[in-house]
Amino acid sequence: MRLFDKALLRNLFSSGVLLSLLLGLSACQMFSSSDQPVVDPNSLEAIAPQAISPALLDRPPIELGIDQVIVSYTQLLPLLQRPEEKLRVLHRLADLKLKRGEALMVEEAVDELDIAISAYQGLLELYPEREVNDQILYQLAKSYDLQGKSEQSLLTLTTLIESYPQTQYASEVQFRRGEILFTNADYEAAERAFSAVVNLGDQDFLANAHYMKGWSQFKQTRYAVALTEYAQVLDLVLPQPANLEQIDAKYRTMVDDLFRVMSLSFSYLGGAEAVEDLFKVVGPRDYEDLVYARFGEHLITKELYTDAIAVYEGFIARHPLHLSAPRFQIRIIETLYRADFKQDILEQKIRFVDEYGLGSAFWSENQTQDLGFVYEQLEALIPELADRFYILAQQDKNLKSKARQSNYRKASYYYESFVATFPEHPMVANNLFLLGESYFALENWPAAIVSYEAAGFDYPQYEKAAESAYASVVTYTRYAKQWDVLTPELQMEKRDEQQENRLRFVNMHSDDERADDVLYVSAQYAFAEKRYAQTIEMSDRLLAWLPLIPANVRVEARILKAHSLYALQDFVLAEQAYQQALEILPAKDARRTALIENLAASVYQQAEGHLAAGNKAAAIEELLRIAVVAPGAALRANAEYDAISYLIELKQWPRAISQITLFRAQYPQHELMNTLVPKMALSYRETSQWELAADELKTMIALAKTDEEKRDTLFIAAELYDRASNWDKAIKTYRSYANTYAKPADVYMEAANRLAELYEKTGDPLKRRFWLAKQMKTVDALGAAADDRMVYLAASASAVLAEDAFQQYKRIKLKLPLNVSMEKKTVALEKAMKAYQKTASYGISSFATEAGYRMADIYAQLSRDLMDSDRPAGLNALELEQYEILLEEQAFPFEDSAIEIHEQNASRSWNGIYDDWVKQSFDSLKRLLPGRYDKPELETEVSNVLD
Amino acid sequence: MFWISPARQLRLLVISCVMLISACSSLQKSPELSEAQMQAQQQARALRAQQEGEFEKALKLQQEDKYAEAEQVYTDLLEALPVSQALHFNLAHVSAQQDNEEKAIQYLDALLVLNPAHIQALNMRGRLAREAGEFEQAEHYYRKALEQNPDFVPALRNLAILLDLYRGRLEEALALYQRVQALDDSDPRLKDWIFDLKRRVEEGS
Repeated sequence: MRLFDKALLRNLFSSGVLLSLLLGLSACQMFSSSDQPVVDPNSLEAIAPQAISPALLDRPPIELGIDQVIVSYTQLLPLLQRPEEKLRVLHRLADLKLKRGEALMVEEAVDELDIAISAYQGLLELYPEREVNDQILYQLAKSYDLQGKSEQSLLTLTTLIESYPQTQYASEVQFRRGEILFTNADYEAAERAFSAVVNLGDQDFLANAHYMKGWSQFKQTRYAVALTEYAQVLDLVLPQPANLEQIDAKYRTMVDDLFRVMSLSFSYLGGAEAVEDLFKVVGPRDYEDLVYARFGEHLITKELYTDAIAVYEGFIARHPLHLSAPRFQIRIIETLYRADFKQDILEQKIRFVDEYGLGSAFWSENQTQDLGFVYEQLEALIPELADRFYILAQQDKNLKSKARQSNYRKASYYYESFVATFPEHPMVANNLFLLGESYFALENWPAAIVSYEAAGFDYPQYEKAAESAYASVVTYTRYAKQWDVLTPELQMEKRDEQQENRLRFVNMHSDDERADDVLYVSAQYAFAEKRYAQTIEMSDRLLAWLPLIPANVRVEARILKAHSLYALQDFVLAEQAYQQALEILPAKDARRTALIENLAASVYQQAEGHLAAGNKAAAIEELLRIAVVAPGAALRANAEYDAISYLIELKQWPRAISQITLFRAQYPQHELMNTLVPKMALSYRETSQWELAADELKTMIALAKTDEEKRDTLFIAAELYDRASNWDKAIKTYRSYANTYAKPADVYMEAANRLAELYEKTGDPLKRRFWLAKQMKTVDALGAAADDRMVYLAASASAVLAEDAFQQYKRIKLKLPLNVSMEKKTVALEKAMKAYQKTASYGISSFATEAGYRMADIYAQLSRDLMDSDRPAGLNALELEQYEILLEEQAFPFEDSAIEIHEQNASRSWNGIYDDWVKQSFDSLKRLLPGRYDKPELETEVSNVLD
Repeated sequence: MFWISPARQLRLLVISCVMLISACSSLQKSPELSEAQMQAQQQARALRAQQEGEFEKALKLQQEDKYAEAEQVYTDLLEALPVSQALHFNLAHVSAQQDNEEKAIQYLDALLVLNPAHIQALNMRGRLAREAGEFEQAEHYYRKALEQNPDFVPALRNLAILLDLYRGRLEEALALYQRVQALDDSDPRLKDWIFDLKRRVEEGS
């Protein structure tokens, strides 16, 4: 059984309690407790490793009855005969006595180890060559050690290792030797002993050996090599990855001490560079950050803040992307705080955000789940920096200063960083708002709008959401002043965005007291952009707004709505809207007149709609309704004028007359007044108010702009007087026409003809014949240019005049003396014949047959008159017979002429002309020439038998 | 459309029944007539006699130049005998005699529907057309009449007069006059007409 059990050794190294004990022991051994000078605990001399001593070994519990065992073995010993058995019992007795002495030393401070020592020494002397004497020496060294006789123990251990270099106790023996030698300040020898342990490679002793070897080197001021040993320790005891929390409990104290001594070593070697040098020598280690950190902490405890910061910066420089780098940056900041180096703190905070914030190389290098620390720091640092710069900028009263601009830019940078880094953070909305404020101050309108909108619209629970949203509205207003330089398309795009912004504000923050104002502006914009449906919707919303919007805004809303309805051609609703607007429009508002016009226009457009649908009657009602709804509108007159026109088109003559009469009274100076004259004339004419119609035409004549117009109007006026049976006015007007306008000839002919007729009607034959003659003269002058109607009129006139001549001829009676009356009769005959020939010359069939018949009849008449003329008195029978023969000779030629002319007239039937005059010629021929013309047609008798 | 009084309607119904019975009797050739049939036959004969009496009366009135009265009788008869050609023809006559050529033409046109070959109607229709100055129509009706009977003297003579006096087709007229003369030389004036026309034709040629 080994007295220095390995497990006990491991427990020893891990016990923090033992450190102080060992230190105390060491001190006792190195220096006397009474007469040695007090050592500064911080001095190099005072620096010592954690104690590792057999005294700290766990002891097995004292076995009850050990004394009885010893007694038993003692009583057994004399009974043993064989030397080997006797030796084993003696060895066993020595061990038991050591065990009992060990227990008594601890429990009762009674040193009975001498018994064991004597037993072991006796065995060595009695059996110096035994193979197992390394065990005896081991137990003996232990016993010395327990008695505090370190030198005897060292000697015994040295003897053991020299005599038994291959002993199973080699590692422990060398380690015990190193400890005693280290305690004895024989650091070189101690280093060799620990090196021997290291070389043996026993894992149970390896870490401790390196540790103590390092200490031994440290004591020799060989710090750099000592550090490499310490690194060896860390390599062995730290878990992978390096984590102090997971380190084996038995090494914690040692590791703590290790970091302390390493820190001391670094300090002695010059500080931060020494750390870097160490890892250059030993190579990179995953626990470097622990080393740097502990060293930094060490320096801070020494108030060597600058050095500590250098150490931290050293790590950051060496491992800029290391997950611990931000922690070192934070340590720098904390150190600066501790050192009260305030002037550098800001820079380091900025550096932290720059180096480890979102978007940094560090951020890319490391996994998000490992960034908890960074998140935690950024959550505090970014707002701090942002607020700092924001406040600085706000405090700067010089609006133009570069510093102010710079601070706002920085503030915006950090606010933006915060939002980007912590998109789900409860403070995002506020950061967005402040970001918007910063951009606003920088006059970066687009960016400000984006931020304000985000805070104002995306975070409805944000206490300043409405404020931010309204700020976006205001910012848009400022932004809009820059749009003049944009293309029209872009301007439109921007304005639409602004409108969308306003509406978002209104919709999301309708409770805000400014929402109605913004909605009104939106409505104005929509109207300006001709988005009338939207304008109407917004206006209605404004009008329904609660609490009620101010009266002046109500007016504007109603006006916008009305205008929009009008633009959308919803004229019925537009009319209502205009009326509603006018009801609340202040009496002195300058727009009243224009709105009344709009109201009238709405009604007017309703009329237009009816017209487009072909409903003129309805259109008229609408046009006339303007006088009711907008009596003062300038449009009213035009509407009523149009109504009159449509009334005429619809032939609503009485109503047209009434409206024209009203129009004339209402608008005596209206520019279209004169155009009503023909309308009125037409209306009068269509209502058979001929004379009134003609009177209107007389007015028209005065208004006529062209001579042709005057001429035509004059003729129509004459016709109307004619139809009114106002012969006097008709004659005057026709006469005025005929005396003024010889051309066109056809109209002149009609006027002359009518004059002739009217003079006949009024019993003025002379004037009648004057105008009959005028007709013939006109047609004669025109010749072939005269149309059929003109020729007919001329023929008709001629027939009248021929009839006059015929009647004149007819009135002349043949009486004695025959030669006198005959001469007159002949003259009259020639006139009549000439007149009828003239009539026939016009070639109008009806007048030609009349003329033919008349001319024939004239001859026949003369023939009869001759035969019927008075016989001279006093003739005897013979003379009378001779006289009658003479008469017959005179009369027969005329009768022949009559027959000839009648035949010519009758022969017109061959060409289909068979009017009354032709028939009369046939009748005359029956009498004058019965043998040829009295040919009765045969008619069969009636039927006498009823079938 | 002529108006038929209710009383006259009843009478027409009786006539129709009688005519039906009569028709049935003739078809069946029954050797023995029932009493009802005999009564119907007697009534029919009585009615016919009455109508013929009325017709005779109208003829007499017409001969006495009592045209209006005659027309009334004819008209009443026409209601009972709507397809009577004699009534149509005589009504045309009596209308013309009252210078109502338009009505005369209506009766004649109706008659010509009933009998397009009614030669007297065609002749009269031609004369009325001539009086109205419708010379081509007149020639048409005359020639239609002559299609029925090329020797129908009235139509021949009237056509000759038409062509002579109103159409100036003297040679054709001369030939027609001569044909009339050949058919019926009872009118002594024909000879003079032919003589005068020959001379005029010769002068014209």
